Amino acid sequence: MTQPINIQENILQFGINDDLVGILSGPTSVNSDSTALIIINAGLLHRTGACRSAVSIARKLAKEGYFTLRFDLHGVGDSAFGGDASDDPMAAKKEISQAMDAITAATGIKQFVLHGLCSGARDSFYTAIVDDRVVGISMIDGHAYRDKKFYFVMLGKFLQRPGRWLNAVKIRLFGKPDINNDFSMEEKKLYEETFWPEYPDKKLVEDGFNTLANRQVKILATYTGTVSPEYNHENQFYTMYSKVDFKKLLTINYMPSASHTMTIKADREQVANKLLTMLKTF
Amino acid sequence: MKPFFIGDSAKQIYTTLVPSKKRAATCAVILFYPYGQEYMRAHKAFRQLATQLSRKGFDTYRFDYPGTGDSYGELTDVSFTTVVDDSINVLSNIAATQNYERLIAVGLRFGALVAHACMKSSDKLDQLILWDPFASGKHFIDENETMATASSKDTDEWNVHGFELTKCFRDSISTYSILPISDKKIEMVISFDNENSETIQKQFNNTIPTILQGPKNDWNYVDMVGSILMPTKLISCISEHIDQSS
Repeated sequence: MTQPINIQENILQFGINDDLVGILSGPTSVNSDSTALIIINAGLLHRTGACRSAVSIARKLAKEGYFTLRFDLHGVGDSAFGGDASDDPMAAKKEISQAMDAITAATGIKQFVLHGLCSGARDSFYTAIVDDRVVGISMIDGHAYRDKKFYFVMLGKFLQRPGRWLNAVKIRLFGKPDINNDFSMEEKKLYEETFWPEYPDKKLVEDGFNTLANRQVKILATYTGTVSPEYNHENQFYTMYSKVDFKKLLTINYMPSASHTMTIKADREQVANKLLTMLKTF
Repeated sequence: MKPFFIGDSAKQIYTTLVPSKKRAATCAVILFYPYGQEYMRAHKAFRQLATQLSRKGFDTYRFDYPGTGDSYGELTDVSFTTVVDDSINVLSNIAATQNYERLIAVGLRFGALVAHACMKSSDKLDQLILWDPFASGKHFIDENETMATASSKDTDEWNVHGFELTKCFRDSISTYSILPISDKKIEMVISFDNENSETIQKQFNNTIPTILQGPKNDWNYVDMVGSILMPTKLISCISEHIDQSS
């Protein structure tokens, strides 16, 4: 019978002036030939992740013998403000490469899988293109570009339940009444912060995937039902990047019943299991 | 900012200190987070409040309850009692390692219930600010019941915006109420008048000092992408108030 692995969690401060903060989870003994996972912030949410998903993943993988760092980019969570602003829509975050340096310094591990939701997915992708220590990426609701089949699927859904779609249009046109609120929507919006950057040109993203495929980087692409207005059938990934030969590097994890922030525990567990499967391949 | 763990490796409580930027602090402020999705929405606001207080000469602490954030355990394994007991341990640890003259607690929503229970059960806290508080455990449960997924309501484990609220947890908090504590200074800061603030006023015979600073904060709100809330006016209002009253 296999003995359970003891796990440890330690605070890791790194970067210039140690101003980046993360938690490194892992087994109590280190195998420096293994692969570590780095979890990137989703938008403005701090490193514990939507519905604490980053913590669950890190602790599950630690019990399986893998190290995981969940950390905050500059200006998010507990990390200091700073970092470089860039006009390049595909600029890699330097903090992610600094995170790899920090894990190597702490454990000796030299190869990494990057995982992220939403903007974290895109940041994982951009870093993987320029940093060859990355051997795999896992993206939840990353870039999406509609293909022809997308519109057929959308039409089919409309024909199945036209009332529901017309109601959605009505709500978008006229808005929902905001009850029990003495303040204007404009004033309220001043205090709600949301982060959803524009996608770069598809050609740039496609070139990026070609770079990753040529470097044998493995890709786990998860899409949830929340992004069905952009991604609505399982194999859309292949058609939207039809000029990329993914060989056998790509795994699609299509979860149409899951929400973007993974509010159902079983959905979070499914993603964690897929990540574990991926890590075991290295 | 200094992050550290309190407790042994099996029961680590993740804590952060934003030290005073002015002078050696004689007074510390401890921030008590709300529950579940509201914790995610409030994290940046708490950091902002801690930063403002540090500029005014206060050491400011934040910590994750067991089963939340980077602290040990799962929400399914903790109760209100566990949360309060671990919070008191945090307060004791802070009091033992630093010789502060005063400890002030700011508790947001569910955090107001926890901070109040800590003040009631230990002598560590001198002042408590209830921020958009729940008036009682019953109010907390009732509001979360309206937000729990339909499929989870018939089970012991409610799913509220992706966070578990177990029957054990609900039972442990159901009879708790925010009431006056003799010789303790308790105040309230609210973003709008509501049933909770009115109940607390009644429970204090309309004597609890209250500051109203809008606009209304929807803490228990969730959108598809996980937006956060940063009520800048209210945060400044709290830090100014603590500075003036200390």
